Amino acid sequence: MNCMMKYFYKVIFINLLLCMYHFPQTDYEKWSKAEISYETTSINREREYSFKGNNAGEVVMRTFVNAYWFFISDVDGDNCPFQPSCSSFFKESVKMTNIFQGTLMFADRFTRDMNFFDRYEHYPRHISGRFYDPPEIYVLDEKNISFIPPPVVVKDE
Amino acid sequence: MKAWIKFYLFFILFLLETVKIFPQTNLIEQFELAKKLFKEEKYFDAVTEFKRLLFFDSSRQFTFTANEYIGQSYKMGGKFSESAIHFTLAEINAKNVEQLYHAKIEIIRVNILRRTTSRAIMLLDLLEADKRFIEKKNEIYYWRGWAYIFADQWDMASDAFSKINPEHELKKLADKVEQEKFSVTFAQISSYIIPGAGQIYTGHYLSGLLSLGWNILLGYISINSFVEERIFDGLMVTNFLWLRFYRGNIQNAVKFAEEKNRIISNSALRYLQSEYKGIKP
Amino acid sequence: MKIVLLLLISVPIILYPQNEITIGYFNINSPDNIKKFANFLFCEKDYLRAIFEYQKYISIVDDDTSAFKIGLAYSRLGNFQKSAEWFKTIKENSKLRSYSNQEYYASLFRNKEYYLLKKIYKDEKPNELQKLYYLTYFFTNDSLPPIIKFIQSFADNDQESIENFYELKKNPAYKNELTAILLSVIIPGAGKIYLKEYGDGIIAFIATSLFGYLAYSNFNAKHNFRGWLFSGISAFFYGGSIYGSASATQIYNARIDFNFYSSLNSYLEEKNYFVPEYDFCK
Repeated sequence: MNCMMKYFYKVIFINLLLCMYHFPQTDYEKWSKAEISYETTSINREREYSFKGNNAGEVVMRTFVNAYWFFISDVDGDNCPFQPSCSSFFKESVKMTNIFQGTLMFADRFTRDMNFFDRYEHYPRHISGRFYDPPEIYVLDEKNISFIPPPVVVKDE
Repeated sequence: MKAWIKFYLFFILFLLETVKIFPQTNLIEQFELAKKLFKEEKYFDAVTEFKRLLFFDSSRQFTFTANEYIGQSYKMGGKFSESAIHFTLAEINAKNVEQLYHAKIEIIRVNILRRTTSRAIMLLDLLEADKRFIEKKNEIYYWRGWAYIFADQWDMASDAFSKINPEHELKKLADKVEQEKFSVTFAQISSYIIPGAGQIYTGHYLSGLLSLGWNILLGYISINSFVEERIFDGLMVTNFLWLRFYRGNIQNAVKFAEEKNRIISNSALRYLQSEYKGIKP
Repeated sequence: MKIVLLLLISVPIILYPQNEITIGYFNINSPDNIKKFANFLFCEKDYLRAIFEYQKYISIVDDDTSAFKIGLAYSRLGNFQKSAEWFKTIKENSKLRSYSNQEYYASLFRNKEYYLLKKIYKDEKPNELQKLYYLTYFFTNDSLPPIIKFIQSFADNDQESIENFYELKKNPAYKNELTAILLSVIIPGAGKIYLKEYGDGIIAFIATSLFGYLAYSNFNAKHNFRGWLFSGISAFFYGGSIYGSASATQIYNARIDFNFYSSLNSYLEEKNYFVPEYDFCK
């Protein structure tokens, strides 16, 4: 039985490898020696606590968001199914636009957060497992919308 | 009569050998060129020249060696899947047990670097069970240890290294890491019993105290609501507030313990990569 | 004498089977061997290496087939600018000229040089470019030519698909932003329902009306602070619903465009951009 399994594994593995051998996708560009690191990277959310702002509205927003993060969000766990989280979404929205438009974008995001249905059909996934919903596509500028269909997994932030 | 027949046969053989020698000399030159490129770390070009050698080597004299070098080149370029393919081709074309073993070990090393450690361990199990490699047991234990290190199972790594030598340098390193690590289970269970305890255990004092504070406050409000028979209020506070912070406390305890452990592992991995002098994957 | 004769007869008999080798020396880097290796790499889909080898070969021997294969290799690597450059180098009198023209136009198309293709077509009217010329209209915002002229450049079995794409391009099923906004102004969440976001629409409606009702009942009960608080929350959801309808319209329309282009591109890939396929590796 052990011999059979060994043979089985070998046959399947060799077939897979021979298939891959004929499609050397890694050699589509000239490559050189790589820096291989043994270390692993974290997939946890990194929070940026700063009060830097371009205008008064942004500073006010940062105060509220930082206070919320410190006293509540960092303590009650990861509850947001989206990437970026709702509070980060609010922060980014105000930075991209202004406090009023940012608040409206946040209100819309909050409403969508309360909708538990249809998420899989509506949003693409992020590599962390959360649903990918960046603020760029909600600034009412058509040029900023690069549509990503739901089954796709996004790797970058 | 016999003398000239002997001379004639000798001449035919000489001619055949001479004609064969020259193409082999050219292949040897090609092999040396490819090796030179490899030594100069021009890995992409080295792969091209080894592939050229393989293409023209009709007698398959260089199949094992060339595939090994191609595998090594891809490994240096970080292309582990391609590397594994070529080491497997080398394994298939191994001419003796020594070459076969060498190719198998290279495949294991690539699997370790690629972090497909379960596959590496499976291959090591097969190697250990193979009676032809009975003298190589120490080397097999060595790579098993590395595979467990990359799988973040430092206790198993320590066991593997101890089989080579109870005072092995890497066994001591693995033991040190295992000792320094936080217990995720303990962090989790202590957080179930006292909210915030797990976070304090992992050194996040402020977060732990905040968690404790919220849980006490919301717990008091919830219980008070039930005691005063405001059932609806009690249910709302319990479900939407108290449970949320209680769950968050456990989640944080686990997250902080895992994060601290990752930092400890990474510190050991950094040492292994930059300062350890032994053979690395 | 016999010995000399025997020797003279033996030498060619021994050497004849070794037809790859000139007497005594095998040059791995001879032009012929470079080409053989390049062909092997091409068939193994190791396109970048094949390109380097073909380039080495072409520097010694002027060969159109190799230049064509370099173009094909770049095309398969997705570098359409380089592939176009190489296809253009094929000479007028070459037997591959017609194929290379088609590949050249296909490379320009895949490199999104739609206006250049239109210019070439208007200036020279090459027959091989007709299909791609009409297809460029799908990728630009110029007004579409009449459908009859459009589809008659395509074969009968392709006409139905092209006609479908034509209809979708001419009359995309976009939603109107102003309609969505007005609907949400009148009934919170109605704009989202118009955009087929039923869940979001219902939640927006419930949230706005629930907090609106709470505000109303608190004002009635003279709890002014709570009244204003719930009014604020209701306004928050109401504003979010209107804004959300506007942004969701843009996303809806972007999805229509995305689906159109992804199905069109799949269709064109399947048809190889209406360029005949050849197998050099049979």
